[in-house]
Amino acid sequence: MKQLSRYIKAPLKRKIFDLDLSENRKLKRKIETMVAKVLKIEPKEYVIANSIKIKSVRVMSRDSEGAVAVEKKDGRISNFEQESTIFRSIDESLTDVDFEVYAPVEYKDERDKNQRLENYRKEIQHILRNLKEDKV
Amino acid sequence: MKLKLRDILLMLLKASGERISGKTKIQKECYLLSQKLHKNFQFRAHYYGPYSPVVNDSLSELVGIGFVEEKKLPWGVDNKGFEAVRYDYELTKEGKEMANLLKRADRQTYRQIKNLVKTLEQLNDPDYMQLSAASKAYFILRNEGKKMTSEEIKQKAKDFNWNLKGSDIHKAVEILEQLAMIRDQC
Repeated sequence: MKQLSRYIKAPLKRKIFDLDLSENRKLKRKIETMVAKVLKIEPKEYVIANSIKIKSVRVMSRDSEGAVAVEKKDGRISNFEQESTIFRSIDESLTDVDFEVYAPVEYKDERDKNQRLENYRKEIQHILRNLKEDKV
Repeated sequence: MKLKLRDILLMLLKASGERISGKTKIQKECYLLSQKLHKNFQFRAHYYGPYSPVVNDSLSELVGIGFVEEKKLPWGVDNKGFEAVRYDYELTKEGKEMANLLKRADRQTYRQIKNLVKTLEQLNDPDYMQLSAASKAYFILRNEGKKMTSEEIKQKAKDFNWNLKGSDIHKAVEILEQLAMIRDQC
């Protein structure tokens, strides 16, 4: 989602973030129709555009379990999330927000798939760049 | 235009000089704001006073979208011996652009937010502990729905495992009075 800043303005980004809300249904349909047209997908209803929000695993675990106290070698108390190498490495503030488009496409092999995905990405970026949805 | 909680957070950050230090401070300012704006942000009693997981989520979403930057700062050791971290929030270039648009789209709400921030500034910008005490006191008063003395608030706070001292309540009353949230209630 952060990368979208290179292609679209803040108000449109705000709408894309909430693409699943009924108030943005028109925009969602517009994007899906344009993608279907560019990728030549029939019927156009097979294309689905969506925004996915994933909370950091640290936040999710804390919400369900709370902080687990651990005693360090020097006697000081810390919490498990800070002391665990794996958990500490995860930034709890990271809420991943991705804009994703799903569509049925066929490919010959992995190389063909990657090439196509790259081309589709560029096409979709171009579509977003040309959307005129600057109003809040 | 219907404002979302995320929009209000962007406006709050803009009104606060584009940055706020500490999650607790944001939570408490949001609680007081929710009461002034008559919005339900799902605040509930928590260790440091009223807390809303929805505010926390919205803040993380703003970071995820790229409208707000979160900075993590080491914050010493708390009274239980835990190493503490402070989270500061700052509008990004895009966030500033969005906040300006929101301000223009809903000037009345922005004015109310700015008034709250200004009043707090006039009170020498209370820290998160003082805001926490004010929020706790107001939470109790709202819950009880009646006039209460400082002693009654102090006693009631124990039900939520909150330790409010007389000096905390004195400062809390000053803040709430200045925000026109109470009148001779204590």
